[in-house]
Amino acid sequence: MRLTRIWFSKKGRAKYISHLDLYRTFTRAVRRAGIPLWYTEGFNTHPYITIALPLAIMQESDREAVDIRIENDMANEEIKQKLSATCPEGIEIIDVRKPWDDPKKIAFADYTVMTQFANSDDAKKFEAYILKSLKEEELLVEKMGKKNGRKVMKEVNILPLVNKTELALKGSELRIKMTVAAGSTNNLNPALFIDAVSQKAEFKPLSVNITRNRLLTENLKEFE
Amino acid sequence: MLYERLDKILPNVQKPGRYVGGEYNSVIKDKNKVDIRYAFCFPDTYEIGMSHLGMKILYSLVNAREDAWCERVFAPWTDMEEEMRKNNIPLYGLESLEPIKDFDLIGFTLQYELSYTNVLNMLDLAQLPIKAADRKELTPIVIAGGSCVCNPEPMSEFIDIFLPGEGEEVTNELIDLLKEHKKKGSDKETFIKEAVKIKGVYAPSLYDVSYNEDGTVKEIKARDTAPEKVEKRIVKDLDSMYFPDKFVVPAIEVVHDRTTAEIFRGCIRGCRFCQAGFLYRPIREKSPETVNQQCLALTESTGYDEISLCSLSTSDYTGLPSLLEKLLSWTTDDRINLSLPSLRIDNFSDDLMEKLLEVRRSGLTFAPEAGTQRLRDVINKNITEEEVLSTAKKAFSGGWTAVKLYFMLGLPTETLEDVKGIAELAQKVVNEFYNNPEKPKGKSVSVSVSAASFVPKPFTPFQWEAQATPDELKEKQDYLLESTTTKKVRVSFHKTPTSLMEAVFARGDRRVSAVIESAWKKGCKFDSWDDQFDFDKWVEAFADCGLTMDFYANRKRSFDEVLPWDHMDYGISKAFLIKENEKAHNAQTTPHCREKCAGCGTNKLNGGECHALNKNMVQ
Ligand code: SF4
Repeated sequence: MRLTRIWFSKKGRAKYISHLDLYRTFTRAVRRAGIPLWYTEGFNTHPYITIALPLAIMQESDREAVDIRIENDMANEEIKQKLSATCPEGIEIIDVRKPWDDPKKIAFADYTVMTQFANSDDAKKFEAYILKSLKEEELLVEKMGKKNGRKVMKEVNILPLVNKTELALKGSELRIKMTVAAGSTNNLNPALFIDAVSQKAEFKPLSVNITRNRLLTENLKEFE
Repeated sequence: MLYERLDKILPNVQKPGRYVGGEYNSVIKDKNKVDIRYAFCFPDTYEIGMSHLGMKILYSLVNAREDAWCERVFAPWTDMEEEMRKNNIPLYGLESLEPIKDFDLIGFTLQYELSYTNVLNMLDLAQLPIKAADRKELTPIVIAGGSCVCNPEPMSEFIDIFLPGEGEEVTNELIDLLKEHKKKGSDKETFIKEAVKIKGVYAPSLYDVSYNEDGTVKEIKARDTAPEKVEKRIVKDLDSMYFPDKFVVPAIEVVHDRTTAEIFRGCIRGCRFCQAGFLYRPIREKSPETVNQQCLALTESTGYDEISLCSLSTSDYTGLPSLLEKLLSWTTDDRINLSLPSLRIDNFSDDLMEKLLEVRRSGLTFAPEAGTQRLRDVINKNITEEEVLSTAKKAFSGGWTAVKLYFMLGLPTETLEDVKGIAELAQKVVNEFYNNPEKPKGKSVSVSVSAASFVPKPFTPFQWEAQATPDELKEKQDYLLESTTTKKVRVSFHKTPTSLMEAVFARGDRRVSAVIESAWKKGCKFDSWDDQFDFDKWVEAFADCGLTMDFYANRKRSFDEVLPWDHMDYGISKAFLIKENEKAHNAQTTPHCREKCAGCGTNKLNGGECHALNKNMVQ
């Protein structure tokens, strides 16, 4: 048995596959490819498939990682070739190799957020609101949290979760590149950031398209 | 392509994965290289439609042709419908994401009556006139198949062509013809008049129906090229029949998400209430070799880890032991579960039982359908109390602890005594568990009783019977609850207004079309969904059209009344149905088809052949 890491992109129609559904999708793709999946022992046996970091539904990604355990008799190159043919539209296999970093090491992620506005004035206004928000002490959003075991809405300051932003305005389109906290302890969905700014601005973009570009470790090095 | 526009509205709806396509094995073609574009519509949600075997078969069958492209269409849920209407997005095919109003054929599968309003809603969402007569162009031609088509009359205003019976062959013939007429530039009427020359094609516009004073049908007359009787199509040989080697694999969770293999068509049992048992006759079996090969191919192409054998009564398949041997020889190693619905385990060898226990066990179900032997004789349900109890005993020894029992309320001749019998039988199953020294240690038993309301259906011996009124059904449901005294037995019912609607549509005539249209205009859709069904609107719709539900549902017909579906020929002879009805009222049983042919008449559709009689496939 060995562990192998599959790097893939998730675009177009595949962005509608939710995180949970992605497990089933991969299990089946791997089975179709005839890759010898390793199964757990015992009565309720199941394969070992772990997605490094959940990606929100309706967001695209250039580079995601999934780890699978296989019986040790297929080369990575062959896995790549076979799996490429059995993934649904929008999921492309980029690379298959030995995992280097533990998924727990993921601390940040790079995103590109494309926002579209009715006109260039709105886009400019929104840009100004972003810049202003970033300079303030806090940017609060309502998040579902737990208090004494009960589910409650609580306010969270998301500013500390934003590491870097880079804005580019082009007509009625505003592109936001951002590096934000990612992982199981701290995690920021950029959609939440846009929502928070929209609330301040009291208007929101006509459309928001989010792409995750890469996963990063603690010291902002690429997760391998 | 609508992708960009969909992308903007999908964040506002639940389960957007229903509406984008792109699933593995879905078929993408170059639209400029095909002659016929076919929208296969399932008038319910994605999750339900994607679980339907018939759709998978026809999807692949049409796409196997180079000159045609079949796409899937489902009923958008109300949130999506709202977005589509707001943004002027017409109903589209999931493969191309292009509007189906530009397609050549729009095919609906009518599997249950309560999906009818969804058909109208989908046509409207497609931005097409809902009425056949208002769609003047040659294309799109709107067709419909599926079991409900045995009485197509309530939908006859909306559908251009119905295809009674099995679709595998006639679909291709119809596509060929439409392709030819498209090339010739024919008009719709010319095409339809040619189409009805194909066996198994029914065009309601070519039939005139007149009525008697009392509202019953007086006469159904064919015009022009249309045949007086439309004979349903059947496929003679299931082994050589087209069957897909690929299924579209959904990404989101659907109801049945697995390899499904059909093992035979028809049913030897002859239960008098069961429409499917008569509609799919004569009996034709697929050989275990073919089924095994098809399962192998499908599991490889889908990656599924479950295979389900599909038929009306799995254990009546003569090739079952042989098939299971074959399947188990590879499924265990490939970590594939077998599920065998509608299975009676009483005639299994211990060896086979052992093997089945290795794989995941599905729930144990029985369908005694009626609570007393007398009533079981009336409905010809050939299962005795001893059989239920001895099988339950065997299963309890084998480790099962949950049993499901299916019954019906409101069967012809039913008394409160029969209703009480249901509770008593359930109690005896519970006792069987506690009296069994080999029962699973430290576990308790749960018996669930599901009591549906009986709906009389066309082409069954009960097609003339009155349905019990909602009040009568309510009384029986209450009595059943009263008679159930243990907590180990859980009882559940079908909603009575829904069963009433089913009864109306099942035996309705053409005038019911107006009611369906009126109800849809009032906002009725997804009627099979409890949270959507709005009975009051239906009541209004009937009143608006000057018709009563009672006339269709709760009225007993005489044998000589002209039935709205009398021009449909499903092979079953009326004389046979009358004889069976009379025997029912005398509580006389009819032996199953392997013991003795009951002379139902359907074998004439297959050149006199019926596998129940003359094909011994045991190996
Ligand atoms: S032809 Fe005879 S054996 Fe065949 S289904 Fe009909 S009654 Fe049964």
